[in-house]
Amino acid sequence: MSNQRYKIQKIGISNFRGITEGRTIEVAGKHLFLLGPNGFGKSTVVEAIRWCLFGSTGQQEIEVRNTFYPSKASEVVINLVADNKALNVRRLFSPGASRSRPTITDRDGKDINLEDAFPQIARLGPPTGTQVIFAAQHAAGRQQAEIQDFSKVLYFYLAIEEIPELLENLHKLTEERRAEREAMAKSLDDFAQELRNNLAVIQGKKEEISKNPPWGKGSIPTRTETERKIDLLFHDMARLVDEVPPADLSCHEKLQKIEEWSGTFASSKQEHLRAKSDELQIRRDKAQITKDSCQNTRNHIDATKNKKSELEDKERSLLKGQTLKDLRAQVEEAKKAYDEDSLRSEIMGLVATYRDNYNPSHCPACNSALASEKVGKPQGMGKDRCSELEEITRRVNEITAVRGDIDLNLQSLSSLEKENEKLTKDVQKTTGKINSTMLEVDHLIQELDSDIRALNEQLKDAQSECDGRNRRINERKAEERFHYYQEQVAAIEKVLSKDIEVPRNALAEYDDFLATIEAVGKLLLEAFNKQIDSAIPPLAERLTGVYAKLTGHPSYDGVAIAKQTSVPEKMEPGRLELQVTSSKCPGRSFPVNVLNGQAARALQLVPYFVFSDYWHNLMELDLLLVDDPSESFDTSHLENLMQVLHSVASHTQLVIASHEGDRMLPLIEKYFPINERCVIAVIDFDPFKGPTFEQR
Amino acid sequence: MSDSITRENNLRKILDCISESVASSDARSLWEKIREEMQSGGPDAALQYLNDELTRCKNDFEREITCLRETYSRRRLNE
Repeated sequence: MSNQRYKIQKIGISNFRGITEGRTIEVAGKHLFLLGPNGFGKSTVVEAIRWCLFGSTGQQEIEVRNTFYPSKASEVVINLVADNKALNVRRLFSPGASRSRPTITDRDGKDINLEDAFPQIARLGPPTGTQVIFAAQHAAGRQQAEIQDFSKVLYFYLAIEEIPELLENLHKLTEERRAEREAMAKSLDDFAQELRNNLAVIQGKKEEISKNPPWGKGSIPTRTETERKIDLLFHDMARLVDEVPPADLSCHEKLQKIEEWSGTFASSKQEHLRAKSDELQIRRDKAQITKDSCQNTRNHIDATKNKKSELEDKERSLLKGQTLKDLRAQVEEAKKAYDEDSLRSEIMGLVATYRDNYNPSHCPACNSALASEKVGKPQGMGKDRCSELEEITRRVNEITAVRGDIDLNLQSLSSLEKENEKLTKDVQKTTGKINSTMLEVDHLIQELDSDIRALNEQLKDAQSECDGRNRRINERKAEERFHYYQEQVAAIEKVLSKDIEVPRNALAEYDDFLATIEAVGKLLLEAFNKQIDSAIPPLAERLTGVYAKLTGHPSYDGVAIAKQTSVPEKMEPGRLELQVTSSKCPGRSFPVNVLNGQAARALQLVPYFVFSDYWHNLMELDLLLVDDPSESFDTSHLENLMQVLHSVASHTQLVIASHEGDRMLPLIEKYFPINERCVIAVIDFDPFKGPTFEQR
Repeated sequence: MSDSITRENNLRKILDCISESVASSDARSLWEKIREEMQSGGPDAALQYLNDELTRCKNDFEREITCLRETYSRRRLNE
């Protein structure tokens, strides 16, 4: 065996599946044959080697845990040696972890990446295409073979594995970039659409101005003409507001300035006129109020005077030429006479009562003799006097009341006169003239009314002047806007017809490049398929040779490589599949499931034997793991297998496990010299400890 | 052993075959570049080259359309 590649020197296994106690197998770079009954742990050793080097392939990694001590770490350590190189590969599956972790160290204990240690193996990746073929035991229900993707393996063997990888990535790239291209095209279309929409809007605005042209009935002015008009208006307005026109203004700025000036001018003028008008209105209102008050007061005075005059007439009629003093004197006299009459009447009544009761002869008051006749009661005495008194008293009372009213009238009159005096002063103040008459107040009001009307007229004039100016400004603005829209239309049309070509060309360049990539990809696919097509017949021939030697199948005696149709749109080469042929049915191939299990499993080893002849030089680690090959081969063909194994053993380190030690051992001894083999008999298995090995 | 399954020749044959069949000058120059990249750095290098070229084209496009949009937006702002 060549010493260029790594060989297994020693294997250390602990807490791995059924192996509880640590086990070490010294291989010393020889071919390892593990012989022993089924269930003693041979397969566990083969699997431990595979797991250490490649990890779990698809199945749950938890399966590697030790049955009795799942809380302990599962660990496999393999020492590899080649010429002056040595590597220590250790894989640990710690409790609680979900994945195992490999570490590779060199002779000096320095960590090495898998890619650096085994670049070819790392590139292929487990499990596909590794040179480790693993025919597991049927009973364990484990995976039958590691070569799952025959296409990938074959491409690797033919050293063209880079091409399908490139094709696949080219397809992904073009797919992604096509989507990107669509987004780019959409952004360009969106922009063009946005421009077209804006163009339609601007055209509409332009047409709107044209319907009622601000330049009148003539032809459309040129921009220079419009600018001249704006300049004229600008200077007119500057003069009006007494401003120095700023230099270097654009048309747009000039129009803004004009508008600003016009607004300021109009509002200041209008404010002035309004203030003046308001002031006159206030004066007018005051004059009106004074006039009205004055008029009211005078009316009151007149009414009061009339009333007074009426009362005086009434008093005169009541006095009937007498004075009130005379009448009062009469009242006094009448009162006195009436009082006397009243007293006499009372006395007479008392005397009559006295005479009736006592019949006196002498007066009780003066003791003079009394006349015999009786004193009679005064008949009607004082009645006239009473009526007279009542009459005079009534007149006096009436006159007194009239006098009272007259006094009140006089008081009112006096206060009205005072009021009138005050109002007269107001009138003077209002008219500004001494001894003003109401007529003058009226005149003043009329004057004020006229002034107010005049101011209102001025306000209207100022407003219409302002409106006229604004109309001119708006016309110039519309004219200026018309030119702007015209320029916008020209600019957008230029972008749409010319400028947009630049990004459009960039997109076309992108498109072309993408199309070229696709074209090259298709050519690459064609060339690749052509090469595969030319490689298939000689390859199938060699596969058939090894297959026939291993199986000697009576019906299906050949091997074919079936190629599925390539999918150029996906830059996908047709998948390759290993099939069998029959010389009895030339021109046809059959899927491997037509074979019995033994032949089918043997077929899985065939590609390895065929290809290993010429790819082994590339491999850093050339290792063949075969678990129970005798299950796949009957006795008559077992020696053929040993011959084939012996031929590959020149470059490969074999690890073979078999439960048929009796059949295998003589063949091992026949084909493998003692210095090239390491035969381990698995003689016992303790569920709590693991297998017991014995070196043969 | 048949020449068609000799490792050393297969890739070269495919590459040569494409070189012979590429018709257009664009595709030829692109293929030569891919081949050059493949030979120096493998498929990853070739893909990197294609990605870079496509990104360059895309950036050219983005730059041009952005420039056009900005010019147009500036015009609109002046309105």
